[in-house]
Amino acid sequence: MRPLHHLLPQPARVERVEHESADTRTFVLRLVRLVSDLDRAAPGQFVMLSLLGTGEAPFTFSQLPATGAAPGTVVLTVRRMGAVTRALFALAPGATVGVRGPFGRGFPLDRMDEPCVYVAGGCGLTPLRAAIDLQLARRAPGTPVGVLYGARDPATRIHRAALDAWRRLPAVRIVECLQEAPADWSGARGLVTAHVAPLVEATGARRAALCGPAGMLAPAAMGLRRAGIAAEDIHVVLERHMKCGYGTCGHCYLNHRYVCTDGPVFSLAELDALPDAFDSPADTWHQACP
Amino acid sequence: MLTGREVAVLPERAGIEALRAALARTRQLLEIRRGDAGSEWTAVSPDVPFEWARERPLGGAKRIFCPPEETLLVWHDATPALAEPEAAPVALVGVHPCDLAAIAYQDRFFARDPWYMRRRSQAVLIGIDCTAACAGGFCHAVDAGPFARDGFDVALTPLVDGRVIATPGTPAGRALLDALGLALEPAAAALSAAYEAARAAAAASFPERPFVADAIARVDGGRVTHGEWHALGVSCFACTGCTNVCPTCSCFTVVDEGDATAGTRSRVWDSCLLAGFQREASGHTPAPHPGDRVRRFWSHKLEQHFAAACGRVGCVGCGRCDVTCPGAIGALGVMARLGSG
Repeated sequence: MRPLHHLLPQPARVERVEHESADTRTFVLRLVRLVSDLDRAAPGQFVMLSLLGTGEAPFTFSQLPATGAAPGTVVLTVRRMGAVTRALFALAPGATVGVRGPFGRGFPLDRMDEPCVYVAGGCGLTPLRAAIDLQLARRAPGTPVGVLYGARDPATRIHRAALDAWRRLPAVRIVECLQEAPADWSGARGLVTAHVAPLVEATGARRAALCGPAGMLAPAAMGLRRAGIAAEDIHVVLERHMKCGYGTCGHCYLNHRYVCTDGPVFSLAELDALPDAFDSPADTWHQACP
Repeated sequence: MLTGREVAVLPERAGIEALRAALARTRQLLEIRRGDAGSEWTAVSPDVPFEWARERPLGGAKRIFCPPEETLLVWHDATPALAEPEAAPVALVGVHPCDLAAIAYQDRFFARDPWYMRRRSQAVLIGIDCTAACAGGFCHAVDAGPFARDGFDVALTPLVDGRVIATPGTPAGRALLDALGLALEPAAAALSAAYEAARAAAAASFPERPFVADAIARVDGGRVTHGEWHALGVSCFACTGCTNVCPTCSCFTVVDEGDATAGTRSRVWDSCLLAGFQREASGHTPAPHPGDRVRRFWSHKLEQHFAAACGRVGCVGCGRCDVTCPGAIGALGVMARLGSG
């Protein structure tokens, strides 16, 4: 049978709520009882957040004990979108929620000494934040790390404190990119896809991680591949609707795989064999990609 | 295929009554009976004789182990606990081979699921081989019949001379036959020959449908074009009939009732043919067109990819989807349009 903490929501109290943007907040949850698997979770894995009487939804970790979060806490950055997130945003510190997990396959944790670029769009920065923090904590000094983060406009930027902290570290190159940039914006403009190749070149990256809205994934992945990164070394975080988290409800089917158990982190080489991974028909984008 | 197996022989069909009586001492008998709504699994008394002429029930045995609604959590005072289904011991007598294959498939799929396994562990399965094809069934084309290979506690094979071969498939089935005082012996050559003759006659009773194998090969090989799937999608009314009657479908959604203080969380049958099945809170869905969803459904039923996890392909050839589909895109309907021959 499955472990109890996969089936039964484990109680956690809302310890702190941090403002990220108008519709996005970071929730620091403290588990009432320790769940050692949650303390050992990897970037890219996720939990099912449970609000009794409202429902459950999957959320990935933005920080982890492995990246400096307090043991016994679960840190989730959440955008207000549906019924569960609306109810979550209405909770005050001290309120009780439930957490099941951790579920899924996160980012590979080896090769922390190799240059890597992280490409994020919108709230897709959240799973990458934990992965970036982990590499920055474990890399050999001077290993180049690039972060390319695209947002719609200045008000929708999230994880600003983390971005500022990374910017101050040696051998870290941050490119922030706005679709609707004000006149005084000093960063990049337009879509992230236009800035992939220069960042790969500047960092000498041999690996990449990618997370963002569905429409961004295929062109950004193609850009990374064209910039010379092998498909096996491009790690893509997929998002799907989920009800169980452990491969039973069927909602996250991706061809013959499950995003919840086989992913949510897949290499681009794996996704080549899963034509439903990206929204554009697989035959079209494969033809377009040399 | 009896060679080397130990079997018992009931001298006549009425011998099943002793088996039913023995089962009924500790379990509720469930058998297929025809009612106002058609054939369905029904609680019966062992005093009423067994009905050998059984139609494949449209609803199937799925709902006994994987019910349309299963309570997962119950909470009072805002503290949730796992719900434990009340599952009384039952014996399903007369399970068709296609449904035995489907139950074995779901047994593997739900092997680590406490709710399914609690219900399933309370059941004894007595299969009966089909001696002739049923209307719309094509179990022989997907290796799920007309004779059962496994998935039963005891399989019964009626022979034309009135005898019935009883083959145990599990230790529980063997114990049941032992308790009836039936001698279990390696099948003699003559008995094996009679079994093979019955199986050959059953297999020969299926209509010729050469398009079935061709269509399965095309779906499994990914050789059906997007255009063909979209043409089929036009005929999907998203009524969810196929997924409800399919004996291997088990996708569910989760529904909360009550409030944060007291309530329940249940899983309820869902359907991958519904437009909202994969829709995310943002409104994005990876399968926006009916053809995408029809393709996903049939890929799941016919691709060998899935056999690794569940022991066989998802389709058991029962033909129920053809009965229920208002758009004529049940299994044979789809295969007739995709296959040649």
